[in-house]
Amino acid sequence: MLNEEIKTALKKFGFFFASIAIFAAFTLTLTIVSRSSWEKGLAVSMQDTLNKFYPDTYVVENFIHINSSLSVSSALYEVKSKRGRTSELNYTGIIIRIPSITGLEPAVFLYNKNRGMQFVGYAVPYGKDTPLFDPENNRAVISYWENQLPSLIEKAGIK
Amino acid sequence: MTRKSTYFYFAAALALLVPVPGRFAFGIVMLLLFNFLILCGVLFHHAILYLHLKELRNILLAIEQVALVIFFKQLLILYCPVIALNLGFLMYLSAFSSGIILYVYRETPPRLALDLQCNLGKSAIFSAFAAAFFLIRDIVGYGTITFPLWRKIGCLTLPTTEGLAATGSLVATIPGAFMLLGLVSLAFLLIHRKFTAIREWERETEGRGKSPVQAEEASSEQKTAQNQSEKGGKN
Repeated sequence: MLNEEIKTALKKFGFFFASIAIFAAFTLTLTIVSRSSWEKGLAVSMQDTLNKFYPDTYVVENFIHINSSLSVSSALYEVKSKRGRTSELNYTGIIIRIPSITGLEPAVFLYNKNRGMQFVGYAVPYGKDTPLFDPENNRAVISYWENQLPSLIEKAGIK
Repeated sequence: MTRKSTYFYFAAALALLVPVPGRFAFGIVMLLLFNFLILCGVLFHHAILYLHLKELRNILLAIEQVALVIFFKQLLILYCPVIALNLGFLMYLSAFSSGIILYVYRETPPRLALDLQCNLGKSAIFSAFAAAFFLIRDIVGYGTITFPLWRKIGCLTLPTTEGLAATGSLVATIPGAFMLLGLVSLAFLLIHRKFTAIREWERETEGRGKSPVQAEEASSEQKTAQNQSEKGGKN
């Protein structure tokens, strides 16, 4: 038979660990639900950045799932161009967090098999006209990602 | 404010203020996370002590802090994914900043209400300072005031004089943030020292009629005399 002390202890522990289990279940549900927000939200940011630098030229379409560690710091989308030759209508848009002098910033790149990788701009408000966001001030990091991303995209199986 | 509190604010600032890009929107998110971690950390700590799990305190608190950051990040992804992408692993720095470790991991905390009042009061003061810090960096460095909005970063662009647009851009950079933090801390410590001298004068010279400058000189002379007598004693 359980005495009162043990019953009280069991109730306390039961309540505590049940709270932890509920919190874990809620976090797991939230993780699953937030996936669609991640895909849609970053598509909006990419579209806004493309419209800022290339007005009325590109349209962001479907999210591309990749099995890579890069998926936590980036997102890939199919991007269609409204202009250009047939071979240059399909692009892969990448929004990825890269280091810069102001800290980590989300950068947008466009990739086409014929035209290669191209840096578009940063997906944050620029504000006043300063050299902070000038690509030439961050050329080393941008060049690194322009060289690395095509091989990562091919490894992810995107054509 | 004690010297220990000053250390807490400076150490918390290094993890939270310097590596984060200098936009007010990011500052709001990081400060919400910081206060959320302090609140839940204190409550969880008291729950652990109530259940007599003191031996597992450190590991349980560490796991709880990381779990809360994961939970907060999912909420942020739901609200504004681009800020979640930008901040990324920086949010996990909050869980292991000196501020959280110093005040949530205390060996023998007071009773819950007093502990909450004390810790949340300190975090509120730090949050006010940090919010001002991010606002200055955003206005002076970028010429904007940014806010986290639904699925985007809202931006209010301030008017700038042509030709002076690059002025102040240094504070938007990470080295600039270090410098600004150092200057603000120095100014804060100097002002605090003066206020401490005024309080000591009020205590010591009630009715004696000395000025604060005379009281400060007298207290520094007293300290020098004490040091000399200690050296004389050692010899």
